[in-house]
Amino acid sequence: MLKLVFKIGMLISIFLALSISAFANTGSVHIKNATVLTITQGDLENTDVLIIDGKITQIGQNLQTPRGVDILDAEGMYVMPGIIDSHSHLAITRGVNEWMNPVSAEVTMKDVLNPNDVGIYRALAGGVTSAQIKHGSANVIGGRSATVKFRFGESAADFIFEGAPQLIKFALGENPTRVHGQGRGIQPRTRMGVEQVVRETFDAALDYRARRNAYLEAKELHDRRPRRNPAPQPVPKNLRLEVVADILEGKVLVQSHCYRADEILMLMRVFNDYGVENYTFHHITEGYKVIPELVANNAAASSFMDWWAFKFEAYFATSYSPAMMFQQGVLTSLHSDSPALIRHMNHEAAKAVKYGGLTKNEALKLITINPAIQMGISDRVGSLEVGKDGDISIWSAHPLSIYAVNQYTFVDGVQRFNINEDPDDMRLQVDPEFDFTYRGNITGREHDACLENLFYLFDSTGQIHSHSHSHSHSH
Amino acid sequence: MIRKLLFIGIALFVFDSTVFAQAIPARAYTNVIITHHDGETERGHIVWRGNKIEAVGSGITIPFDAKVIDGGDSLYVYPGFIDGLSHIGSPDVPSNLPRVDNPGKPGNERAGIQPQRKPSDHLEDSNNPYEGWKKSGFSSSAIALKGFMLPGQVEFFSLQGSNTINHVISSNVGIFSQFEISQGVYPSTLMGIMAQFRQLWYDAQAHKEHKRLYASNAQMYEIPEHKPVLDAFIPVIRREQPVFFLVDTKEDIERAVKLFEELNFKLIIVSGKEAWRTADVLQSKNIPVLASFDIPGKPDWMKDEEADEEISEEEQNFRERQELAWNQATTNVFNLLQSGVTVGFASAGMSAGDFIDNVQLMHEQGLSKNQILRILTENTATVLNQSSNYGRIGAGYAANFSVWAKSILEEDSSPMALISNGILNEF
Repeated sequence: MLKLVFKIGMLISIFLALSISAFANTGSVHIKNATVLTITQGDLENTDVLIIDGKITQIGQNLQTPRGVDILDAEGMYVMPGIIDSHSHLAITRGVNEWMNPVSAEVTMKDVLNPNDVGIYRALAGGVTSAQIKHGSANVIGGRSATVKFRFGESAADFIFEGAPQLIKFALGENPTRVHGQGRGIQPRTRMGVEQVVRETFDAALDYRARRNAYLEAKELHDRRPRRNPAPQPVPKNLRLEVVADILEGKVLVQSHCYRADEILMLMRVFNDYGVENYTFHHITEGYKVIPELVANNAAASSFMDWWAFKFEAYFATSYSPAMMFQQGVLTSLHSDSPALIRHMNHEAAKAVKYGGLTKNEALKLITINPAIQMGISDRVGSLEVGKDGDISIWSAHPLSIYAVNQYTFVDGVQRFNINEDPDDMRLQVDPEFDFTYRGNITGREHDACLENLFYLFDSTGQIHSHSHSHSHSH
Repeated sequence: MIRKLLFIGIALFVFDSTVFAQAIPARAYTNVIITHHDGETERGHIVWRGNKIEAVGSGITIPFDAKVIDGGDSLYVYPGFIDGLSHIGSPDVPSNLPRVDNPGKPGNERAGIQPQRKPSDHLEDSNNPYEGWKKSGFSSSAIALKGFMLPGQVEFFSLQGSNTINHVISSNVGIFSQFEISQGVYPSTLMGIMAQFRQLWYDAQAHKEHKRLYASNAQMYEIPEHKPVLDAFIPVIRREQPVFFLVDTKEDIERAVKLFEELNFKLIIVSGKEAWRTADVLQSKNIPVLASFDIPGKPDWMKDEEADEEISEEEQNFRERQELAWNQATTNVFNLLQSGVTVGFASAGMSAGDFIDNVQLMHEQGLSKNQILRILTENTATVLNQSSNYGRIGAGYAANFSVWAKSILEEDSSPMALISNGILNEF
């Protein structure tokens, strides 16, 4: 009897597991005779990877091909996990920043994904299979992220990485102080103000949650025994403070834009005061200055490799920083923050071998398993292991070689990029009224950027300049 | 004198029990070709009195008092078309909105959150903006004001030229929403509108509950504040009114459907130019579409069939894709019907001058005459919850129909007369 119950329990749990990863469009493929860079279990020569219905079922030599499964002969090629970009503003419709309020936790990028963005295909061509699609950096507490898989060709809802933890953007320093303080004369005007916005919002959320919970409890009592318990006056659900309260309860993980050591220390102090854990600093150009503190607080880093000096707060930087953080125990990744850079994240990783002496395996961790851990999806992606998702890129040479070109990209075992079947026009939709010569906005760093839509606020020196449309760096 | 009046009264009563109606003389079109809402055609007569149709058919008796126009067996009559959502007569959206000190809290009006506004309080009809639609055969229209995220209520009007504003057939038809931001204030993005819509809903739920509790025990609860914006949501929360959501792309339709699923309101998709891409979802969730007939023009190269120019392989590929896209856009409505979606019509900002040409083009692209008529009449009336009185030519229905010299599908066709709410307009 117990056995039967156990069996039924197993069946139910298998059913539940299947229903959580509910995305239906999965594929199968047998990749043969490749050099397999597993990331977590070494590099394997002349090895096969078998993906069945979207999951890696076997990794080994001379595997049998199940009936009906396509074979991909990858002799001489390198197989690695699909690259994961922990910071992207790709594929967002009509606004990266809800920039009218310094706190906008209520908005979510999940509402505004644009599955037709051809940039997704370009990212797939660079071997990227997952990304954190982030709100911009105009607000101290920005919007919630969408963790996505690049299932190009599917609907927006199908891009959502099932079961991934909810992440949220924070931003420190010049961007929120320029937009809100200089731009409008409201808090935060200074770095001190940024800290106060965080603290005041946290306090408001604690207060809200207490009031809301008290109401819900009283209402439940009333619903159960209406005569003994009078109906409480409603406390409306407040979406913004709900999300902030969830940050304080560890249900939403912070991913904060930052540059300077002092603001990094500031946010860790605030988080310690409120018990916030499991957060990641993004850009973190001065991360190398505060490595012991990052380690002590178990804070992760999603770093630029060699982008700096585009504004005052980003002057003190070095390409050695990611390797230094990695070697001293900070969970470190690299990100693109750019629809161009996302196409060659392998080059970014390679720089960490040159600057700081990471091993090749360590360098690849910066764009695979480490961002996966930071985003809470490492049980599914980030390394090639039996049971993980069939998210894979296959390269003509070792991916850290400048000569390596990505040949194939698979997501859930479905081939989403094949260099041999790569026509000129990969847009999903063509406008019936556009002329052939219309190219749209295909260049310009104003798009898919941290401060998209806000560039007109600043002149070329970064000062508020409401009448011009001149550029300022986005990061 | 009294005797005489009494005699007339009795005489009227004998002729017809609708004594009061008899005081208004009847009118009639005789010997016309009547095409009904479902495309069925009959030759016969239409008699109407006041704003109601009294009798239709070939065997009916024309009342002695009727003023008759003889159609001479050659005039076509269609039910009055119904516009499921228009902005006719709406003032334009103000262009220079004032700067606010704290754009995060701009106030509802500045943010374009005005679901309590009624079109009948705001329409500007001094230059008779309704005329173009009347001349296309439209006798009634649901009207929403132009605006931003929540511009106001939807009201159903009889199109009566410059006097339309005084001819509300039905208020409280629904509230109108769209993904449009008001510049320079919160919500300033699409994601902001999504969040704000949810927040308004939560606030309205609490407001509704608070008012209910206060009404049950005034001593125990705080006096509810006057909140007309939230009050406008209450019938929507109760599912007594739908939300008319103007959305076109597949992704925007999916966003409206997402809100519908989260909040459980009655949803009507307005315009829906790419609705065919989500037809399965709309059909399975029973969400009707008031479809736009505003279809894209043919690309130049498609018009010029004789052209024999050398083009690159890339351009050839583009042309094939563009032709497919154009065909998809012009068969949107047809494909929605094929999928079993309820489809009505909404002008939703389109120009009246394009209407008949586009109807004919959509007919060439597969939409049958019967389908077109049903969409423009009974289907729209049903979606607007007005089908008991509108959308058909039949005894007891509103006297709304148009008279044409030739079939609507013939070249250069247009109505020669429109009977709207019983009033004859000759063009």
